[in-house]
Amino acid sequence: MSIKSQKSDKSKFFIYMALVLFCGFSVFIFLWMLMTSFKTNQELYANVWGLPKALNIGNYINAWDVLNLKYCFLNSLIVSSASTLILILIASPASYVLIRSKLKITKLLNNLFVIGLGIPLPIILIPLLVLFARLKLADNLIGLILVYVAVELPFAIFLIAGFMRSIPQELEQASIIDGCSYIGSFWKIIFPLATPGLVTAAVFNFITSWNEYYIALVFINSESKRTLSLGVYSFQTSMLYNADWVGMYAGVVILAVPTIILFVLLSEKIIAGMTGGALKG
Amino acid sequence: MGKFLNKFNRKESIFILIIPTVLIYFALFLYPIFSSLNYSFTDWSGFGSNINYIGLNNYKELLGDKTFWLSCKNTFIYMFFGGFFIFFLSFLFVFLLSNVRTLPRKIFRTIIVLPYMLSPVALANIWGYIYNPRFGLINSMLRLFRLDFLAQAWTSPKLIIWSLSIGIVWFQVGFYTVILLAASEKIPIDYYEVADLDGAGKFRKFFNITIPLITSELEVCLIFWAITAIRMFGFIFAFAIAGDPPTNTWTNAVYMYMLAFGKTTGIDRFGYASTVAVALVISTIVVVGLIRFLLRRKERYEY
Repeated sequence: MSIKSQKSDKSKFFIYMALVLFCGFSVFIFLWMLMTSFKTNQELYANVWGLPKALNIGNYINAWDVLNLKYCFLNSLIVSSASTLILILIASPASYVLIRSKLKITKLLNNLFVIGLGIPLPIILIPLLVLFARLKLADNLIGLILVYVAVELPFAIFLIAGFMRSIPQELEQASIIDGCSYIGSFWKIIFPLATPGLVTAAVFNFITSWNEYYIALVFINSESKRTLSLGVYSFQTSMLYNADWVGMYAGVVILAVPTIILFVLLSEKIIAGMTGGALKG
Repeated sequence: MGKFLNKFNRKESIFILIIPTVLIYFALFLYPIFSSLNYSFTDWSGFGSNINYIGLNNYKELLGDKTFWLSCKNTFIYMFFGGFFIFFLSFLFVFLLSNVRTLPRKIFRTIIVLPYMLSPVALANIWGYIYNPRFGLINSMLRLFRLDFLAQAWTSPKLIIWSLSIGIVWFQVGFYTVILLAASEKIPIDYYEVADLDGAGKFRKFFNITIPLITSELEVCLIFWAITAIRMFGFIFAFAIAGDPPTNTWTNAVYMYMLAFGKTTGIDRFGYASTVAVALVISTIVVVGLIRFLLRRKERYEY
């Protein structure tokens, strides 16, 4: 007995050590980045390990005001919120129809959305840019919002439909017997019951849009319409001339902190979304 | 409101509920796919209306295009070298995490998956910092321990693709860990209890119960990783401090971007770029089909 429990204590110790090692590396990297963003460039070159002498928030003021990351931050907030709102509003009724209706056409549509999950983005970028240039939606935040809605539709439907399937059908049948219309039973019964699934899809989509970079790079040219990822990326270009490393790391912190906070607060929901999609597939 | 809604019969209601999604999806997702296919047979530059159909010329050019094959080779390095470590570490983490109590398990899991939630631009800068030859984490650490001779230019042409692959492993591993962990948590506890009675140890239970029972989720993960590797763009593109990333880091997706929108190389070739995009879709289909074929099983474990 005692030998066995000693052995198990030892293996527990190694298990914790291995996890602490990997997670420690990640946490260390984040903290190191944060620390460097408060240094001056001279301090960085003189001693990479040293703590900043004073809590120098000049880098943040510079990034936020002078390099105008505040506008990028606002643009990202607008684009991510709007695309999430539109996505949830159109994908939830569509998911409801896709799981409940037994029509041939809805089954075909369902297959089209599943295929969409595996389509690589590069194939749609050029024609979309051409189309949007014609519609005067290129280099435009509304255009960017629409593209985000379109490319996120397959995954959002996958998540929401997966969640709605777990809601028992008897509830709607009872409401229809009570004189509720088809749309009414969706709106009054299913939509409220699906709220946990919708919140997961919304948070997931918000983070994806916030981090999105490829599409924004293709669609946005004007400085005033850059999203935060683009803003920090263009920071890199200006680095060529003034080697302002610490300033750039302040930009990276501004870009990363909102998703870190959102993820730490809602990690249960987000992880449920990630696993819900894969486990049912 | 209720009375108004009652006016629609069942079919009309279905139509109303689904039409916004269908319109957006067809116009902004499905139509562009076919449009790209169409462009791939033209010599269109992207400007003006001078579009000539040139048959299969773009596809012939593609087969002899060294840069295209280089980007395929790079994609394979990311996919296999990166993939090996991603899945090795994911299995290791699933094993480790399933042997710790609930609260620390959740904390570790959150930290492991956190990098996956960051913008590729942030990730590229973090790894640019780690690899920086002058004040980066690795070289500073080596100097601290008087191992200066090991300090390298980690982003030199020879090393950069391996350096990038390691960065990719770091931010991708959490996603697969989380999915495989959730799959392993679904396995009924009785299986392990029976194994306990037979005196099976932790490793034995992991290899003989956990792994066989999560193979279908593993298949989903492998497919997902293959698709991710083929379309990898942001991290590689943003890793180049300014301007275009070096050719020996390009994936198919980066090459396609360069052909259509790049600053220095082969600009304004929308027709040929569309051909590369079509090749990208074809390689996705082939790789996914191959994974499904290799992992096809005669028996499925049901529980």
